[in-house]
Amino acid sequence: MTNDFPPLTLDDLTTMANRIRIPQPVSSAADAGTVWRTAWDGESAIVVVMDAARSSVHVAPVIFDFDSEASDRRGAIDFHGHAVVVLWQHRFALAPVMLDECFGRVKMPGLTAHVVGDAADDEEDENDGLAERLEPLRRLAILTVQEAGDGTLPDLLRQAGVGAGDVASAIGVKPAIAAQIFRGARAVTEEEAARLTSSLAVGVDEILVANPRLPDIWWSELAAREYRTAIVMLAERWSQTDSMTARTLAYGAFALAARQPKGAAESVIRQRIVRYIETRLAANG
Amino acid sequence: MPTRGRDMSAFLELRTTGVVGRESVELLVRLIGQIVRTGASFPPPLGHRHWTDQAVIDYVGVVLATPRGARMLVGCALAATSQGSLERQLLTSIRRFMVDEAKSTPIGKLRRRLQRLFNRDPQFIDARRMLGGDHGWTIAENGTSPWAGDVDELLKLTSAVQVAPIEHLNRSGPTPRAVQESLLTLSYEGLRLAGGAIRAQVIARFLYRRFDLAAADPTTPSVVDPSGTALTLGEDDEVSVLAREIYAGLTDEERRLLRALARETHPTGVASLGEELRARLRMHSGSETGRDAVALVIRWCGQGTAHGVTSSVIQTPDAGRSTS
Repeated sequence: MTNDFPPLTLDDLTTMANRIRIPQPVSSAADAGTVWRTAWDGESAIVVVMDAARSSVHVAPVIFDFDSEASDRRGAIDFHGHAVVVLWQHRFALAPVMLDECFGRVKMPGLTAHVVGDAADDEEDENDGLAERLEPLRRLAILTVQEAGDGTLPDLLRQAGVGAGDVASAIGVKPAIAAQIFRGARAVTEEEAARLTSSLAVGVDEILVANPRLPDIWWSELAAREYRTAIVMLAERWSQTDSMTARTLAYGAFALAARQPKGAAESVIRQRIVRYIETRLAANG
Repeated sequence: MPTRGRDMSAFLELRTTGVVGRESVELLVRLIGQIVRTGASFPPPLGHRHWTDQAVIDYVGVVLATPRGARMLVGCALAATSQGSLERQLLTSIRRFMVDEAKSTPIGKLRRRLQRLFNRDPQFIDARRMLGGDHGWTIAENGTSPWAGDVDELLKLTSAVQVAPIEHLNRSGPTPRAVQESLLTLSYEGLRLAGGAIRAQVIARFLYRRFDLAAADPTTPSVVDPSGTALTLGEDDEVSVLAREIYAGLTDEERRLLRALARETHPTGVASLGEELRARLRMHSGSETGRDAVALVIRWCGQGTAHGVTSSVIQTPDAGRSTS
């Protein structure tokens, strides 16, 4: 009789595996209840959007990988034929630009769903696993609020013994603009930072991070989902992270705006950013 | 045939075909092999003594056949943005899967139960530092020395210790007070007589055998053979342990199908089982122990009807069990 049950082979495994279907991306706005992959700076996670605005979304983590025995008390819900758990009570604020692809929708049950670790006996085990599962989203949430620009560029210049005149000649700007940079009143663009690297002996990214802080509205605008495709594409071309690319675009657009009358007015910020991105995309082929 | 980067093709396969295919299966085999052969101490699937190539294949079968495994693959496939990210997602999820699988074995469950009990009892001291990072326990009078004996030695050392037997082990909820008393008393005496810190896994295996907890587990099937005498299911008998596990995972309908197979009453024989059940049984056929266990399960199913058993859990007449 055991001949009826020969050992499994790779072919058998493949036959078994073929039954598992992977949900495909769908076109959707980031509405409440939609399920998304968030992906930014190499981190990724699956989330449900709880509420969305242009510059911020609140999301809850979706957990596929949990102990089946605990599924009933975890309040598992159906997603493409699979039981998944949405940790509704673990709400994270992310930039919409981090939303990559949508895979459908789940029913929003409100905030009454289960609390992980509600069975006292298993609490320790559950919470150990929970922290690990939430880690990617924690990192993404930190990236959301981590704005570039600590305003230390003037200190960096002084420490390196670089004066306003040196800045002017290094990056090819008028002395008045160099003086603004030296006072921390104007940010340098990525190209200008690249020209300054030889004088300061630090990398472009460090110079950009030392820039004066941009007004919040610039970051809010760049957090919008519509910029994702361009940012991801340029990040790949420039072989740098999504965050660095966003920062480059922010300072580049800001500098572009500063050169024009009322260029940094709130009403034209979107226009400036789009223009700058178009320029960079064209410049890179 | 063009040479494809295997690392790339699993990710592309999932993205482009929408199904888990050959490349993904080979990736799973490779990653699980990598996990178990690089120092992680996960036990091989029941029936296997070592992580052989067949053991890895059988384990991938377990992953693919369980709802959790399927969910895990879907979750990783959706979250992945590249082949590298797919592999990272899978490695993390597979490790978690293997940890939970290990915890879900009877010994693993007992170990977790003991950990909760010991944590609440000040007599027991966490001995991880004394055991080179392995989880374990000691008592104050033992000082900081570890004990290097095995389960058999511990059984011998404690053979004269009298404690109340455990007749029934609940599957969920708090451990009943009487069961707590028995587990804590024997654990304490074991640690005292050993005179050193003992690894948690050894304590759990010792208690499991001493209290004959295989018989006290409510999911344990036992079968009355046609002669009316109970089949001997020795607690150390891997075949029995695995057979119990397979049996417990069968639905009533599947047991009926296996009964027909055992009694050769179905005209289509093994084909009547259907692909899914057959694949699940084949998952255990990669080892001699597994093959014997499958044969035993079929025998049990065949005998179930002879005794008019209709319940999905066949109760054990459990006379004469003693822990003293």
